[in-house]
Amino acid sequence: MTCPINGPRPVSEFFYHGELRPMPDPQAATDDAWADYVFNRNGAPGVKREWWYHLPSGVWFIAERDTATDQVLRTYLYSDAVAEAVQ
Amino acid sequence: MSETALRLSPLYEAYREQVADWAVVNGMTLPRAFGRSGLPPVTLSDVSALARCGCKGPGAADWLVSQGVPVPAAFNSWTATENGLVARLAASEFLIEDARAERIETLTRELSKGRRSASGPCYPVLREDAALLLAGPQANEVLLQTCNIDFAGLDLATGPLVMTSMVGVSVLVIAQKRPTDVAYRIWCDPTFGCYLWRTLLEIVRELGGDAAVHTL
Repeated sequence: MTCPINGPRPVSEFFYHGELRPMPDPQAATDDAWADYVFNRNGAPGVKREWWYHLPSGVWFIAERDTATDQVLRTYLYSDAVAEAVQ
Repeated sequence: MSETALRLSPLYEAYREQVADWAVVNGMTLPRAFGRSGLPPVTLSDVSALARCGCKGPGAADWLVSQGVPVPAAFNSWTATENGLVARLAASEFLIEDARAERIETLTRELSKGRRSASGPCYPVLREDAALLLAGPQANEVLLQTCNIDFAGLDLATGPLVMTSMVGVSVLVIAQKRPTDVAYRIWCDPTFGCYLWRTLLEIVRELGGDAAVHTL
């Protein structure tokens, strides 16, 4: 796994925190949509954007990982992902 | 008049039975001499008593400069100062260590007043790390056995600071070039200090080394 700040490190230095999922507006979302966000997870294999944490340095970042093959395609900071989405 | 011991090193329990003589440094009880003598190929020392403080925030770098503290340009790097070092742990977080306790006391006092610079606020960070010094020609061998970074491959001229796991403990490590060898400074959370000390010392002894006193 490659930390965007600290470089390549063994996966034992990292903590997985789940898929990056956009939160629906709590005020506007229907109960079904909100319950889906809170309780359901997408278990289908494929390329997913996930939160990962580098334990020794405290860096949170996003990893794009193919959960079918367990290949990490790329990693980047969340701020970079936001900047990319805005462009 | 001798200095009064106000606190124990986080590593006290790990080595107290091997200590032949005790000293008090900056109010902390530290070994003056261990049971053995000689120049082993690798030594492990407790340098937790060195005064240190931390700060973070958008204005931290500018505030430190205003206090006359040299700030490393790149994150994950460190620079030596006259009596210690300054490490940049991230874009806006710093660790400052100085052999002169009064210098750190001054910085800590100022930080506690809620200082800020033109770039933003600067917040104090409590640093009560267990601090170790691994030295000697075989020191890198200990690191190769305990963490995943080959420090021999790093360019020491750039002052790299490495945050990694060492025998399962999150640590900060820097390498200090000395005339005859490279010494490694290691900081970790104090609650992991005894475990880290015991584990490293076991390996140090396998390599023919031992615990040693480092004069602060």
